[in-house]
Amino acid sequence: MVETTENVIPLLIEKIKAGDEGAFKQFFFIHQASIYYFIYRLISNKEAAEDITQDTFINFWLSKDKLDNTLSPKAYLYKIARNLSINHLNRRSPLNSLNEENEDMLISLSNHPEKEYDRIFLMDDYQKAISKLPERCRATFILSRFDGFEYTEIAQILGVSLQTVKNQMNKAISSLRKYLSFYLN
Amino acid sequence: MPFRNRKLDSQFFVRVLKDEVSQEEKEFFDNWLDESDENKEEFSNFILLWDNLGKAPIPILPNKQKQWEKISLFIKENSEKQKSFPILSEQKTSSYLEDEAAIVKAGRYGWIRYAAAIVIIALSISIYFNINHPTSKPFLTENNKQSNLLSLVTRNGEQLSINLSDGSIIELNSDSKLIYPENFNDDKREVELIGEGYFKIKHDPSKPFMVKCGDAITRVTGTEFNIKYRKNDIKVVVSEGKVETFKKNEQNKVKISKGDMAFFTEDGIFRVEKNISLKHHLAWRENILSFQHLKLVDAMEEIRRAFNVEVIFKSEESKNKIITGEFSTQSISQILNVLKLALDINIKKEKNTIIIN
Repeated sequence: MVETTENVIPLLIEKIKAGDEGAFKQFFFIHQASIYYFIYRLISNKEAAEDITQDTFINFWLSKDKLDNTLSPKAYLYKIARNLSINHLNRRSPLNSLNEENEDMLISLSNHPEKEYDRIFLMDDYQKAISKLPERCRATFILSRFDGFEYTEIAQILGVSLQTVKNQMNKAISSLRKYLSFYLN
Repeated sequence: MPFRNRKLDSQFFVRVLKDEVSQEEKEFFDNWLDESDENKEEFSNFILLWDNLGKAPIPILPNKQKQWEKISLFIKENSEKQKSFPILSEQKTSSYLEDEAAIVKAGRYGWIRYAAAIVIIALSISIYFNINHPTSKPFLTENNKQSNLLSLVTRNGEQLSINLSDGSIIELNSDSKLIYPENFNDDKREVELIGEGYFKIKHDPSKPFMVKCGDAITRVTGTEFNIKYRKNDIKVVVSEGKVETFKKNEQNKVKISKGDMAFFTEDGIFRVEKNISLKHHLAWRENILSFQHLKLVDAMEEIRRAFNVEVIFKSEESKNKIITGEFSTQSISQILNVLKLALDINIKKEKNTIIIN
């Protein structure tokens, strides 16, 4: 596959590297939404996702000198976001891991009215299905489905081989299909 | 790389959907599809799953400006470097867009249309858009002897926000221009907009805030609203409080409130719609392209703006196809793929040019 080209390093990144806060603000405004949603999808916690989004950009700024051509700035940003998200997930105690959103999930699954579900309800279940995937599998799937990365870039962001990305995608799709088979007939 | 004996698995389907496959793989896949109805059904089921998974709900985005302030504060405390403000200069900066070299190949799977049609959310049809470049030249506000006029310009693919001297915040969508004084004078606040912007105006009844777009004026004391001024059409959408809007030199002033939209067209038509979808009209602030029963030619205009690409139509017929749906502005390839499947059209992306047959 042709890799995403970075033949011209965007001026914005050059300015950021030179310490230009205005350029960084533009960079933040462009990427805030996708980074926030990426983190939210990984950790299923709105408040924590907001904090981690800030930390991601702060870390990007602090480590901007390390930006080079091996990874696109966007991929570098995602890499930071994913690492911080893992820290967050690891920090949670097992007792807290059954958070409100997970509780909702258990309740809705047991009380699910078989025929009356509407689209909104169905969408909720898709979200829950994604949150049940193991972390690496989930990150792989989210980066591909929602963030438009190619497999080669996903491998770079996650620090795994291309073959691992392919395997994780197969695993993600088959788990999701199994989990959702009830809804998809 | 031999793949002829390879089983076509999910990860391969994903690459097909995203046009990441080689020509050889693509041909192999086409043959596989034609082999049996079971194969077609398998791939169709996969698309259904893939698209539905994309609709997992997401929470409301945290306020960008507030979040930026926290980040900015941290940076300031941890850095003694000099800052510059390129935001106020009009010099060209290259917009930060990934150069996706993906080429969207021709879609010949007419049957996929039906699968794709299912997964495109049908939203209610209410408003017809007609979006293009503003054709009029900017005119300066009249009483700006008050202080230096500044202009903030966004190009395609860029969004910016600015704090004015009175504490109001204005977010500018792509391909837009805001002209504003460095400091407001004592009795009124005036700015001029070309393009699209979201205004959060600091309450100050003694100094009304006025936005000029062409010959329409929107006047408020403190509220939140969106103005979209493209190709001589002006839409004012109120998301908080009340605004007053009128044509210059006309006595006929209209007051609209939250959830209302005032609509001016070039030929002098002026109307108000109630209970409009704020989510639809403000989608751009969440990096979403929201199309409601929109002609493809107009949808492509929004895509052109959001991704800084050129669009070429080779078929007049394609221009008038109608599209409804919401698309994240994260990946142009994914948007083009959905358009291709849903409208059964041939879309190619070559570098920064999109060609539609």
